[in-house]
Amino acid sequence: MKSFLLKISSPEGDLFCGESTMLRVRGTEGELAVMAGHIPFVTYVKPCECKIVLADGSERIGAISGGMLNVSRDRVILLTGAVSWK
Amino acid sequence: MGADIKQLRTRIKSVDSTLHLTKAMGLVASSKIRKATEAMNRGLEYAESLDEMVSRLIACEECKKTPFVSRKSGNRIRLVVIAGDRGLAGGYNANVFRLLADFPDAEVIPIGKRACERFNTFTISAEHYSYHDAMALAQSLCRDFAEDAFDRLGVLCTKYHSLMSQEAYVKWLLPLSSDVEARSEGIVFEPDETTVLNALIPDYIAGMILSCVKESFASEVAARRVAMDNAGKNAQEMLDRLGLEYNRARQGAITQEITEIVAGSNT
Repeated sequence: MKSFLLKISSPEGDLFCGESTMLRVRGTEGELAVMAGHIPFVTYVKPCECKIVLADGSERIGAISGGMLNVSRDRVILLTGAVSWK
Repeated sequence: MGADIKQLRTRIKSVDSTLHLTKAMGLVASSKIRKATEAMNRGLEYAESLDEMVSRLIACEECKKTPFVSRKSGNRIRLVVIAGDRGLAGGYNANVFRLLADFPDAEVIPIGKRACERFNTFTISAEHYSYHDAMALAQSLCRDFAEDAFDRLGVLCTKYHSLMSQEAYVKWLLPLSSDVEARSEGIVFEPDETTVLNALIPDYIAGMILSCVKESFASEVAARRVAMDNAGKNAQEMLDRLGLEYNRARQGAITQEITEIVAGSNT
């Protein structure tokens, strides 16, 4: 499966940076998932559970405090205040 | 002569304790510098990404109509003033308060123990300022701005140029300025630009305040380190001079005593 570079950035520094195949968060319009090759878009993310599927198939789940999701052609950046991993 | 020696001894003692103090504070500051600059750099990327996104958003026509972007005519200023937690940091706190004197009518929100003491509010430490604190402040500021309680929001903080040079300046946050030429072409905003901008503003203000606090704290410890180095050098110099003076006075007293004894035995 194609992967993309995902970066979760917070005021405390990068909380996650790595190749992933999917990111699932809750946007203003409801749940959304981003996979490789998504069109570039920007949305506001509500405080929610965030699920990442890594390139090796393993999953990481955490709670994020809300923020902004910026999907560009080469990478995905999630700007958030804090993440607490499960 | 005896009184002179005693006076010198007390002065030497007091300068010596000053030297100890400056050494200790200098050491504490230098151990904190690394941590503070690291924290500052870590937050930089987040702040820059937010800044870039907001400048892209406000470049679009729709967003220019929102109250956060359109310039108001009034001149009621609210300033978040970030000063140090402690003194003995050279001109760090003084520079901040000197710049603040240029805005005599501004409503002040202090951060840092020194600033809080000055404005008699409950103390907020600049060293332990968290994202949570910044977010709470940003939300109340945005609410007040939307209710037209003030026209401009600025952060008075200190820019960290290097270990040797820091500079107090005002960073204007609200209304968002659209001077920067940024293109939002080719990017889809979900659901639309205005909604994203409005939702993003508290995060943006909180992120900016927090990055300013981190930068100011790094400036504070750097300023303290340099000030303490200089103070230590001066104290050592003074100690050397006083020691010389003390020995000379002591020797003078002994010589005088001998002269007196010899003169007494001769008669």
